[in-house]
Amino acid sequence: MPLPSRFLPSQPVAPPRADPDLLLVRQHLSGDPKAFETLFRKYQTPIYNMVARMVRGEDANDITQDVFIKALRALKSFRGDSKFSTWLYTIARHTCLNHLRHKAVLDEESLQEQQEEHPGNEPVDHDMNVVRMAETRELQKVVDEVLATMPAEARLLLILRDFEQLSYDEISQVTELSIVNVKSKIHRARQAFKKRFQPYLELLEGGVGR
Amino acid sequence: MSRLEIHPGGVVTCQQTREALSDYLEGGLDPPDHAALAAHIEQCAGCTREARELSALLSLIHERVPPLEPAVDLWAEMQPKIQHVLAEERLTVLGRLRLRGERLMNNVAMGMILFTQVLAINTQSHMQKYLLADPFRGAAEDEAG
Repeated sequence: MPLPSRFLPSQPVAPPRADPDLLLVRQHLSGDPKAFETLFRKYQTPIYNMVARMVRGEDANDITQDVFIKALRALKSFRGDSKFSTWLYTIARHTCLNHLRHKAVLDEESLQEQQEEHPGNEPVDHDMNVVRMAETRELQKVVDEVLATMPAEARLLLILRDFEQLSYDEISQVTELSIVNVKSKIHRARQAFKKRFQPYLELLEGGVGR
Repeated sequence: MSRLEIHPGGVVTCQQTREALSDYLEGGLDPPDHAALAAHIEQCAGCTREARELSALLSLIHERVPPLEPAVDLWAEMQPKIQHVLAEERLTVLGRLRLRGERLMNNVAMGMILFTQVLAINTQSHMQKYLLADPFRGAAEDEAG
């Protein structure tokens, strides 16, 4: 039965803007051998950045490859309900958390308990000075060391928001949490990170003030 | 847009301010809430310090910490795995079932080999105590000496 005219829009509704990656996915599925390589080259750095910061280095290459192989196997089931990047980050999140669980590199609960029992146990490098901190590589090293002391979930949220600069909506899709929950957890994670990073922050602020 | 529950007198507490600092710094608050927080931060030394430090930390991470990049060409390393997956995808349903069956048999065979090895070691350690000493061993050594 046709809808009454008052329910019909006066102007034709424009289709939602298509995800450009969806085209590459379709090209891959129709047999274009270059399409997956294009997707890989586009996302290898963001995914590697996330993985390396989650698992701390040595397994990052293998896990990044694992993420893309899983994506390749699952491409047929990707329907484009979410952005390809969000879908890929979701695979990366599961792969990283499984790896951490499997290797017990970071038991979130025990670490959280440990940190609650010994508050203020920040890994301060007393030899660090403002000149060394000003060097990008040193700064990156210190930031990553402090990040590694965070519980896995908080670390993941910080990485997605502040290192990968994903929107709250995208993070909500990747983590399967509500946006309100994501915002609240990210704020708490930032405060916890700031507390651990405080000695270095003071060093930098003092150096800037000098 | 987030919405604060501001006290009836229009007063924002330090706790409310600190809980909403991320939203405040990222411009995620309603304009009246943003103004109320700004007014509180301006007259509260503790919240001013908190806001300044969090803002400095976020700027530092956003602007001065570059993304980590792989040191090797991962695409080249992944090629054999990709070819393997693509070859698997080209197989017919029957071919895939056969491949899975072969893998299963392979794993079962590996498991059986391991089990046999463990069983052999276990049996040897249990049978050790029943072994009799060689009666001719001492005599042979005496003769040689």
